[in-house]
Amino acid sequence: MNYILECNNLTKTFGPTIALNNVNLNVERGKIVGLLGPNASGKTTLIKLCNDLLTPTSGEILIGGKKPGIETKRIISYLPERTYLNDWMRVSDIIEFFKDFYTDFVPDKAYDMLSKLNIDPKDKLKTMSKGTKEKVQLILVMSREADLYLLDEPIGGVDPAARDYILDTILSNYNESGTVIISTHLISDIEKILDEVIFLKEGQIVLQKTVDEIREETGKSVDALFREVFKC
Amino acid sequence: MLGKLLKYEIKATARWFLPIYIIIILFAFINRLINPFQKVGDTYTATVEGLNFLNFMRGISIFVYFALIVAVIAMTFIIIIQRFYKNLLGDEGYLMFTLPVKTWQHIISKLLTSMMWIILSFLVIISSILILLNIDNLFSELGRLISTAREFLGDNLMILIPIVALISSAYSILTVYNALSIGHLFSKHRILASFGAYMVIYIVGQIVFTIFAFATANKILVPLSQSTAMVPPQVATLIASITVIYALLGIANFIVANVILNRKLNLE
Amino acid sequence: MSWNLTSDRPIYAQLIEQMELKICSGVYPLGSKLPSVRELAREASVNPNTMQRALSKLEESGLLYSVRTSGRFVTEDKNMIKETKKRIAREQIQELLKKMTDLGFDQQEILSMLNDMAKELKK
Repeated sequence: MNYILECNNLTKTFGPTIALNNVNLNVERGKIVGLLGPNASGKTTLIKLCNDLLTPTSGEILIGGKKPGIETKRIISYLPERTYLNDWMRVSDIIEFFKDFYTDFVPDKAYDMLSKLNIDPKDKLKTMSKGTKEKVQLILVMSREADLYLLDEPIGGVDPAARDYILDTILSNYNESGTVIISTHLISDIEKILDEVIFLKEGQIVLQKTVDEIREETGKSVDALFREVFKC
Repeated sequence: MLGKLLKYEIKATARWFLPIYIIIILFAFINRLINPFQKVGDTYTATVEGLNFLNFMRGISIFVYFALIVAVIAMTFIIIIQRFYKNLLGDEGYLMFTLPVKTWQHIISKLLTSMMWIILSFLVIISSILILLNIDNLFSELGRLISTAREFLGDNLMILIPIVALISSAYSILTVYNALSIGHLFSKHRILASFGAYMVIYIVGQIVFTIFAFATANKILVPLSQSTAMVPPQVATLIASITVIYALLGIANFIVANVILNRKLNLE
Repeated sequence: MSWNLTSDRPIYAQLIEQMELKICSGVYPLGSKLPSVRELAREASVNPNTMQRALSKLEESGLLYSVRTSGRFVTEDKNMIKETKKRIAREQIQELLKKMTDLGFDQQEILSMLNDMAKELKK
């Protein structure tokens, strides 16, 4: 009952396309979980369902025992693939915005991380590069003391140095009693920081195990196992 | 939470409206100073005669003023559409729809802000015209105008007309929101689909009004056409009915848009 | 001394080995206080739960001990460190011997090579 995320026979279709097919899944609290799968395997669909950005076709999804809605939005900190920052605010305005809407947001943490990156809070979001915008977004998301962090492809399309920064930021800022779910297809970079992994293939879960279980049982890294499972 | 949404909605839009309001008022004063209008008897006429520098400036100034009026009206429409489309249905929707806020609060906050700007734009245009015309004893003249209108229209209509104006503009805004929401249901050509949806909603509205006109013809339209009074009593009934129909259609638009955004949202 | 993790073996087992090495080589001296789990995890860029698991194992074996409110410390028992050092050395030598045997050297050859190299190192 104390699962942070539960999916029961969860199915989502878009017209004739089945994005998620009868998924059953439980994720515990206090874990860092990798949601792994190739493109179009249903990772983003699952994360959007958690966020109430999509409605299930059938089955149910529960966040901390509740259906997605206002209550669950309060406890989820979500980093989408897209940059959602508008073009009229300054960094300090968007921090104020987060503070206004999320009671678990810690502005000091955000300002601290910004100063480490030499980002001036007076800067306009509009004039920032894509990379900087993504960092600002990560800082906003990780400055919350959330129960569930949902990070959709946080390390896709960035250089290795930025990747290290992102992983370090996640590790040093997440709320330890909360759970972090990271979706990605770049496994080798993040496998060390994961407790467990979920393999998603064509809308179905093919494996859910801890990283050390996989290494112990197969003598392979998660990355190597992934390449095997998803061989073309 | 609605209050916070309103605060940010107003902040997001004010940076467009406030500057243009200030410029309009400024140009009204400029025009008043160089005085291209002159009171001749009881009417105001433009006095641009002959080709000299002053008249040239007067021409430019009055042109800019009218361009600004057109601009503020166009801008009001564009921003109503753009705020809903970009802030809710574009990438920014990822932020807005994951806030711990109900969907209806998003719609209402955008509706109320839009109405506020429509009213303010209207007031700014009226004030600028009053500034431009340079009327002596402005306030007593305005008072006289209002009391004449009241005598002519009667108390009921004096109240009903502003209400129908407000309700019908709320209806128009909600029609746009609903059309954009319906367009969002399509996986491709969403903007085109929104246009189509707008036409359909518009036609539905026309049909409702036509049915109403026929159904109540004996009570309203027929006596109205036969009446010899300047303002027959049926006018109030007609406007009141129109207000109610607009309100109902507006609510229908609101409900449909709300259901779509709640259950069928599918951000790209 | 940086953290060096390979990708084919369980991470927590590797963390135990590396912590042992760090303790034996004096990176964390006898009786000293260890950084928090979170800091260590960050340093090694691994999951805090995995680091926690490794530290618990080390506590079980006695190399570390924790004091309820003030944190985790390295043992003050010199013998224990000595034993651990010996064990690590034996493991390393065993591995070396195995490789050398695989290459076809016999015991005599291995020993003389070791001797020679040790002499050169002294110079």
